[in-house]
Amino acid sequence: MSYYYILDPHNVPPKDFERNQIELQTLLTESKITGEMARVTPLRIIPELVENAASRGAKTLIACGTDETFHQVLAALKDRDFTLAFIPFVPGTQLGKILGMTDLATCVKTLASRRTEKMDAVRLNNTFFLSYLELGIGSQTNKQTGAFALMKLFNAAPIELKLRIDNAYNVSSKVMGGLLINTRGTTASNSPVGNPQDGFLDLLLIEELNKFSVLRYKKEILAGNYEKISGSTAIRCKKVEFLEPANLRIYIDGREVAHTPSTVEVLAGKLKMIVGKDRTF
Amino acid sequence: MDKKPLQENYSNTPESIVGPSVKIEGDLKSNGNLRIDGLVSGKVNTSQNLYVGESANISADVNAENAIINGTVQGNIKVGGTLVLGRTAKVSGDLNCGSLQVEQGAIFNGKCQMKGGGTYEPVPEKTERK
Repeated sequence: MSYYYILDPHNVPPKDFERNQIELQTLLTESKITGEMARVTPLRIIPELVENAASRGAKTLIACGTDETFHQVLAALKDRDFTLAFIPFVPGTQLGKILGMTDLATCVKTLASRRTEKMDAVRLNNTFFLSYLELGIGSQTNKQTGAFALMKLFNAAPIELKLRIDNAYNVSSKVMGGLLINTRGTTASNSPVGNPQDGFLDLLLIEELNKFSVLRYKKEILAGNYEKISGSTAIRCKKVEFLEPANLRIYIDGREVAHTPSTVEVLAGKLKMIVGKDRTF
Repeated sequence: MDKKPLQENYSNTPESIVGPSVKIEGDLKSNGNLRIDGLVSGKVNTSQNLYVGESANISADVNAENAIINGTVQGNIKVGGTLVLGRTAKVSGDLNCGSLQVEQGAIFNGKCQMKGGGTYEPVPEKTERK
């Protein structure tokens, strides 16, 4: 069982990166799951390292860094058959929460026990991701505004959204925001939304709300639990084409990744992931 | 028929919900429970339960395992199990279902055919022997 660790210092404070790297090496040696470690540099970018891992016959590829690190590894995979894992080097990552891989000690313990699950991946144009994307008022973008969250919610301009679902029907609606979820960090009890093993995506849209409703559902909006908001739309689908309006920003984990028009589709059971017992699915 | 559990079952655990401000053009297909409160111009097909809310307007044929209609449907409705037309339902089209409940106030213009209706055989009259 050969392990290949990709260590990405991008967006990790240098001090934390060095400390995490040393601690990780110690824990891996203790658990006897050491492997080759490769650090991302401007000259050794992630696609090259994934290529390198494949040529050396590695079976398990571990992305160490931020959510962005994992998404870049996903994009570089192509059709290679790796078992994947994620070790966060910064606190509070969405993927770490979803996969139950939070602190280093837990991550290494999970790696050693090799609890593997098949998971769906999502393709947005030429980008791959695991979690969810957001439009308009999104949970991540609002969390970043802190105290201004409420003001931003009040002043949000509605979007005349037009989508095509599963090549079968068009959906048009005036919405405040939307989420297209494969899996997410927040779990709503008894909610079928966000199961990354069912081969479906969940499209959640919140319609234009008045100020009273914004106040009433502020918690749900910020947490991304749109299905709990009265009058919201939830559609289970496999493919979504965002048609209108043009140039609407699309975010993944709070990071702008594309504009409309764009196409998103689920790739059922595409990934073999090592997951922790505290995962959200 | 016990209607309450059916209503609760439909409205509490839908797999897909079409909100009141949403307009759908095309054929809507679902493998789970479906709730529609918006406008749909196209066939609605689900292998499970369908709940059509008061604000919904569907202009096409509807297929479901069980259905509760409280909104407007302009098209034929085919239901394998139980069909309930609520007091606010407005249906223009033919019904084909296993069992039917129509609440007072529902408007229905069309024909209704019950499942197994074609196999009805009248009881033969007894003939007295001479």
